[in-house]
Amino acid sequence: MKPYDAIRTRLARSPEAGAAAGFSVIFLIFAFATPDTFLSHSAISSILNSQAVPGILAIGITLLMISGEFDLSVGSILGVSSLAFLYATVNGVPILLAAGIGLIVGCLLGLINGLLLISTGIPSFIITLGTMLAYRAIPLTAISGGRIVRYADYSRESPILEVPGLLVFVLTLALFFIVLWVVRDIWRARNQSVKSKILLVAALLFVAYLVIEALLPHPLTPVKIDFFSALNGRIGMDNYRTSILWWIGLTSVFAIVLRQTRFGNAVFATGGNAQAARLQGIRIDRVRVINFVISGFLAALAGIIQVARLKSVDPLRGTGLELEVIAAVVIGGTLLTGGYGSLVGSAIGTALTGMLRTGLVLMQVPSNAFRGAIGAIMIAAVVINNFVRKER
Amino acid sequence: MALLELKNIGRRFGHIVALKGIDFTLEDGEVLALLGDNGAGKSTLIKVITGVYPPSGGEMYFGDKAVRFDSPQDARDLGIETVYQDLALVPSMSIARNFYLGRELVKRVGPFAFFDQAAMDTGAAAALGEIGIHIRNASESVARLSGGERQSIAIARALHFGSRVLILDEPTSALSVGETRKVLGYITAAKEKGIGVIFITHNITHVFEVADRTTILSHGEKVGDFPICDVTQDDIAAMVMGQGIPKHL
Repeated sequence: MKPYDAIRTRLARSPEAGAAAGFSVIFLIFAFATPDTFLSHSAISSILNSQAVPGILAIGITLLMISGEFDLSVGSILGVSSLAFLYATVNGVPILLAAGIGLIVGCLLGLINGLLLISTGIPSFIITLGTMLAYRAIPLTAISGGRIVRYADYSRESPILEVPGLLVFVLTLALFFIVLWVVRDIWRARNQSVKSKILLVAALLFVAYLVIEALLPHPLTPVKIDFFSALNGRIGMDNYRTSILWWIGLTSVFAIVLRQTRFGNAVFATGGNAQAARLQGIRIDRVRVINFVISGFLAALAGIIQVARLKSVDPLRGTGLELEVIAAVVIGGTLLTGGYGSLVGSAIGTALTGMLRTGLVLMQVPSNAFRGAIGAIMIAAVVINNFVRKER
Repeated sequence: MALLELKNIGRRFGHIVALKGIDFTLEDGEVLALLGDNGAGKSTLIKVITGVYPPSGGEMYFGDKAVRFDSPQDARDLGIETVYQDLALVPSMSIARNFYLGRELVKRVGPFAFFDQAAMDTGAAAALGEIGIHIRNASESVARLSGGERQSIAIARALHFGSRVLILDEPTSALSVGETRKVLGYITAAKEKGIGVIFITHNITHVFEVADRTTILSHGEKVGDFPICDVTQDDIAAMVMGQGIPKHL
């Protein structure tokens, strides 16, 4: 095999390779064009902060797209769940319960999408186009006259989540035992070198030390968490926010689920050849419904994370977000036709769209040109991906 | 005792009678050619056997036990595996992932279960090698394989997962001559392992090469069962075309 072909084969096997290459090129262009402003903490943090919410939505969209489905309603689900969460909070519902309500609303709206899909057999593009409009009607009618619901109008204090000391103790202990369990299984697995066993024991002792250190000085003291800061507060001095950690964490968890578990394999198979998957005993309808529920859940979570920073909800919250996210997922190498894609690719695609928006502003390109650039890059990405994939 | 026995099976779709009074048997290590014109009821019969359609009437026995299939999974649990012509594999997935689809090997790490990719790669390659299929790389995508290679992998998968009854729905219709030879070879290999094979085809030459017996359907009814050594190609053609049983039989 010629080196050129080898590279092409390699690229074709990883859906995210194209997005990573495109990201690097555009990053370098901006870095050379406006080095002082673009390569600053304020620019990078603003890109990442603004992309955390679309990035979390992109996880659900990617799972759905790999299983051959489409979700246009995530923006509307985000709007409805944000409103449910904020209304519950300002009406005195404890903050964690309010978040639970928001998440349940998101799951339910996703469930409706999924059940409509499997019961009618209509393409999910049409179904979610319908529910996108229908779900949007909820905040539009609930918030009269284009008003904005603000947390500050009801309370001056940030909601504090108070975790009872006993619960902290139990949770820490449970976590410790799970770590112990994982360590035991890794220990038992074949082909473990002495070195890795020593490392394992060291890691275990370190965790044990942390647990003892954390629990012993303050046994059973309640822990107070500023809810909004935990979801979307500043980390350190440079305006990076915790929402970035949620984005990275959720992407990692779902990437592992997608690549390394039976459910992930079922998602790929459902989108790759639904009939073959069904004949191998995979319950394809269940996979589709679960993916819609996950997408609804993540839209709600992203909405709550956004509320934690903006501390308000307006009737149009989340409008148009779905198209931007779908563009980012497509740039990330996931195929609209299903069976092929990557969550890491989607994260890179989301970061790329954010970088483009900020970078163009810094280059003093009129901000409206951003949409044109996204469109052009998305089409270019698909053309390049198709070319590379032909020789898979 | 037959491996699989159907008595007086009927299946209707509304007013349309797709199958009527079908008696059907399959023995261990027997290759049975299921023949009939388009619309004769072959596919419906297969779908009754594989649990896709519950029969409207009649009884089914597996071994000597009466069975009732409510889903394809029930049939699979008893070791009835079907290889469909175009629906066997997911092209965008690797050979190993296709091989273990729905039965993935996992390693448990604490409360989590992750793929054991290395075990699946070597397991799939070994299982394929056992019936004479040599692949370069089990992590290669199925999209790059030829129709014959895909069909072989699907058959190897069915054989590997302890199938007792292997159903092949027109396995050779899209294959080249060389690939067809190989697939017919796998049928013989399955027979030697004691597996009962039901083989649907329109190619009568293949029937004479591998089958022991043939069951012929016409318009939803059984024309008859014949050991292959008792019939000629012309006899079969006549019966498939609905001209009834030739006089000399």
